[in-house]
Amino acid sequence: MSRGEVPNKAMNEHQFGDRIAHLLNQGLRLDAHKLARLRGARERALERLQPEPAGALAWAGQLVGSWGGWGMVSLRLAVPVVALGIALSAVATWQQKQRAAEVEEIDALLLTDDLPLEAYLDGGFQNWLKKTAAEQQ
Amino acid sequence: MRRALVLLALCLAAGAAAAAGPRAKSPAKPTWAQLTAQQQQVLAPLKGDWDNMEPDRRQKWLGIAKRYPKMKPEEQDRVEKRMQRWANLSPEQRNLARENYKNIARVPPAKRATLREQWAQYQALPAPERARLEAQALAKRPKKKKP
Repeated sequence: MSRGEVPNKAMNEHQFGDRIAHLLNQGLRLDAHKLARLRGARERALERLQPEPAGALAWAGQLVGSWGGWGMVSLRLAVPVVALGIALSAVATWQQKQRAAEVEEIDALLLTDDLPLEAYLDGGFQNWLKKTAAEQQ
Repeated sequence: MRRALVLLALCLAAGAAAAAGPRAKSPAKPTWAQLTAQQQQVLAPLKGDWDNMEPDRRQKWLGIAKRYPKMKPEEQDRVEKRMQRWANLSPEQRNLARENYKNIARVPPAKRATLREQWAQYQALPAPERARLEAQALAKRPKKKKP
């Protein structure tokens, strides 16, 4: 009996294997409702995989890339910085010249004025002028 | 990034050097000997002080020397007489006089004409009265912060 069982068992294993192979070859057979649910789940998962909106870092990276890499950044930065430096020193020089011109103008007027220098150096006279003007009003 | 920062620092330093450049380049020019004969003649009262004078002040005096030929004779006379006194004042005194001049220059021209009279009136006041007015003015003046 045991001799007869062995081939039988072997047959069963063969049959089982064949059945699995057959089933796998047939593919998955699911009803329309389950297929729809699976498709929905897949689509939701894919939506979550969409790339996130680019952050500041990504933006900077893209910008640097569009400029021609970090090597070009120093050049792109240097030009406006140099321009700014030149503009600032020009403004400073201009202001200095303006102040010097104003001082020269006032000094020339003071040196030629019909009032003596002492009148402008005497705080008492300035004070008295203010008081007299206030009294007259 | 570090290269960019180094470059930035260099540019700023270059800018600062450019701003300070012209002043540092000619600290003691023109000397008295380098002035033209006309400049020396007009600025004669300053001859002794000239070579110790700050560059800015030299430039200012050269500007005044340039205006000199266009001045009226009485103005030329005043400039000659006042030049040395003005140059010997302290920078604070000169600034005070400039401020006072600006205040008075704001007065309408009609009142400006009476200033000479008013100066005579003020000088006729008794000395203690003038001293009191002067002390009041000193007290009102904003004091400089001491470091």
